[in-house]
Amino acid sequence: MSSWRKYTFGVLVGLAIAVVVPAQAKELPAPTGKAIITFSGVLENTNQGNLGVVDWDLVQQLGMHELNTTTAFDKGIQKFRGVLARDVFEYFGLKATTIRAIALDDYAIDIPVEDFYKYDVLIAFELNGKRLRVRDKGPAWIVYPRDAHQELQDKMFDDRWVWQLIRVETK
Amino acid sequence: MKSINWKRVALYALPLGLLAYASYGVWENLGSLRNRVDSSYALTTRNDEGFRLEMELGTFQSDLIQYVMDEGTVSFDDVMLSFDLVWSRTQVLNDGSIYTAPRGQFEGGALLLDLQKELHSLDALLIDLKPGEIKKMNTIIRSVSSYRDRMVSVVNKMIQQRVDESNELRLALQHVVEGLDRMHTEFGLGVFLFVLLLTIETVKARRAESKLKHREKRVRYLAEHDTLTGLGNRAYFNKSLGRMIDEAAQDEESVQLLMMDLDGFKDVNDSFGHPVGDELLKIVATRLNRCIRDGDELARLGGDEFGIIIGSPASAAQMMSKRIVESLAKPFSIDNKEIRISTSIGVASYPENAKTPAALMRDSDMALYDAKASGRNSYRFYKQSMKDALDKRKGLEVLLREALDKNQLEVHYQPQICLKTGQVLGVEALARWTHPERGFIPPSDFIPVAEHAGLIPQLGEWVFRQSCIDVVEWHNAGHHIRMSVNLSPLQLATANLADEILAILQETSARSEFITLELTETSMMKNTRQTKDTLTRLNKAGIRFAVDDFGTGYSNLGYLLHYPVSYLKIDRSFIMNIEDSNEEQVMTRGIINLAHGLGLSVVAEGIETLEQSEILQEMQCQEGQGYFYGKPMSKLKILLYLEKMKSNVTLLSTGSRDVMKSA
Repeated sequence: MSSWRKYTFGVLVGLAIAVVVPAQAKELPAPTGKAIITFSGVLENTNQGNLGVVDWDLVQQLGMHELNTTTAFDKGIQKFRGVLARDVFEYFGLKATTIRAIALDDYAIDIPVEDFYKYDVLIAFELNGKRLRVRDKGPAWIVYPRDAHQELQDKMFDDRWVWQLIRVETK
Repeated sequence: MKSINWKRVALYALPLGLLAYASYGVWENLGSLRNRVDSSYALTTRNDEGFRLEMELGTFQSDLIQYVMDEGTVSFDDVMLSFDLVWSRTQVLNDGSIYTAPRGQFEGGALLLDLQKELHSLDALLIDLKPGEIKKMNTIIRSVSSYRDRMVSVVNKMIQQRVDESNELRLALQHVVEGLDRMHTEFGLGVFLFVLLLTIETVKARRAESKLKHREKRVRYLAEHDTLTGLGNRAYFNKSLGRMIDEAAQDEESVQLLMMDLDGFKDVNDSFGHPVGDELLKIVATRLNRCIRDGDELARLGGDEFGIIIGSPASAAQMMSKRIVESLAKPFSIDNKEIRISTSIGVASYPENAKTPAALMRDSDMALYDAKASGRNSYRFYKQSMKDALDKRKGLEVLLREALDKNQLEVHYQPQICLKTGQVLGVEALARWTHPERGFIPPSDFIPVAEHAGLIPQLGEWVFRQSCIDVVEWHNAGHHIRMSVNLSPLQLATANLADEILAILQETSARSEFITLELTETSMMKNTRQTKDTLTRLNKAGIRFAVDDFGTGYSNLGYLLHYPVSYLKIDRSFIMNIEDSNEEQVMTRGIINLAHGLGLSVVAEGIETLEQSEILQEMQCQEGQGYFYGKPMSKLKILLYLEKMKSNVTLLSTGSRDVMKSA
């Protein structure tokens, strides 16, 4: 509920800003490194044409969080490090209730944006202290704090753990 | 304490149990449905890693060929990316957890383990693969192809497995749907039973409520109706009157209020008993009902009092009153007895006479009083003069009460003379009232007021006591005369009259053999039993009785034998014209003869001339009173009169000086 409120608040603030400041896409600093994930669709702020490109510098800038959790794919607790998905959303001013996450192998799934405000969902780039490679489900992996929330230990959520994530589109 | 109604508990437990069972069924079904949803989701969204791996092997193979054979179209990085994807897919499949086959192991488990080993060796070949190295490429392709071929058979098995699972799921879902159907039925049944019980309860509650309402209605009915006649009672009447006046006020119409009572109803009760009286009232109610029209209100206000309200002009009330008087004048036949009564009606009109219910009641009451006073069996419309008369009477009543309190009344005495000797035999005590401001108020004015105000017993007692005191004084002065005191019918009606009289005699030391009580014929006719007892008791104590105004009242002479009467007083109307009228002479002579025949003495009233006295003497009438002998005189004057009369006879009275002194 609180995230919903937060979201509503965000929308209201956004609307308020939209009224006060003429809607104008803010041009963010252009990426310097290799693109890891590309955001497209309804974005308030972009950094490459009408896209939002996440490179390693941006990851550093947004700050990495750590999440220790079991996964549905390996045994034992894994240590993930990455950015909070909602930090990236807010950085690009993402406007959507649902996003579509797309992987290298063209696997795609729709995820409600609500998830990212309700839970501290990471876009992980490191696993157990090492950068994720394609062979290790890298370079980016959506990771849910499934140990902290019982309801996340569900097939439906398992499918939202998109690995080899390369693109995010707003729906 | 109300004990638990187990039957009812059981009745309710049953549907509630069924509802609970149904709910359990719902819960259970929903649970299994949820599981089915999950497994169907798993079935449809299961990571199709096997297919994907087969495809990715193909992609890698074509990328590899393009990279080696057709330099520039595919980069080394692209080839490695394809390879990495195959690598990670193989690893995921080998980790196993992502692929959770509903039963058994993934068919291609061994194959995948081999593939993973193979990928490691291929990785070493790929690291320094350059475009054009066809031999190296072919080695890799051979290896990949053999795995692809084997993969196809695994994938086929997977497809078959899916078909099997789908079938199973379909059956399971079918089962769930059947469960849902059953659930619906159970739930529906539960709800039906619940609604049924609710309905039963509602009906019960409503029935209880209607019973209560009926009882309330009955209580209300009883509160507003007279049980004997079924007519409305006074409360109902008052309410109706208020309502009809309100309605008339709105429509600017008039209302007539008729108040009536039955003349002589008390006599019917006394003579025939209460059951007959009640029966009479019922018939009266029936007759009255026939006299009114729809919309008129008829009620029994209590006793023999009835009231009618009609929403019409005064002319209608007049017609109705006439009809009622005529209708009730017809004889009633009850228990083979023919009973005749009459009725008196007083009418007041809204808005002409009064504007409020209370005032209208008062006015019609006044009109009724007037109707009764003026001979009964009639109706009267309210007139201002009635109120004036009443006001006058009320004013007089206040003054009379005051006079009684302040001892402003006096007793005057009229001498009763032996016609032959002129000797004073006695006096008749008469109440006189001279008001300090208004002067002399005649008894004809104040006696009716006293009657109406219930002051007669008090007044009568006061007169009697005063007379006793005075007569004792005269006796002490040597004048051994009789004292006649009038007894009102209203006094006669009091139960302990004899006790009171005897008490006063004792109190004043008056000697009973000198006391005569005068009663009218009519008063002797009432309260027969009680009257006789009272008179007999007083007579035994020595008191004598005289019939006052004889010849004007009742014609039944039987009572003369019935009561201990000693005197007949011939009414003044016979004496008035006795010199000129032969008839009066015959009547008077008859009365005197009758009295003598019965051993009674006769006193003639109203003698005004010597001639009258002589005629009466000639008729053997011994005693008389009247202006010829003396008007009623004050206590002082009568004493002087007695002295004078005595000296006329004896020339000297020894006790006169004492009497004079005490006076």
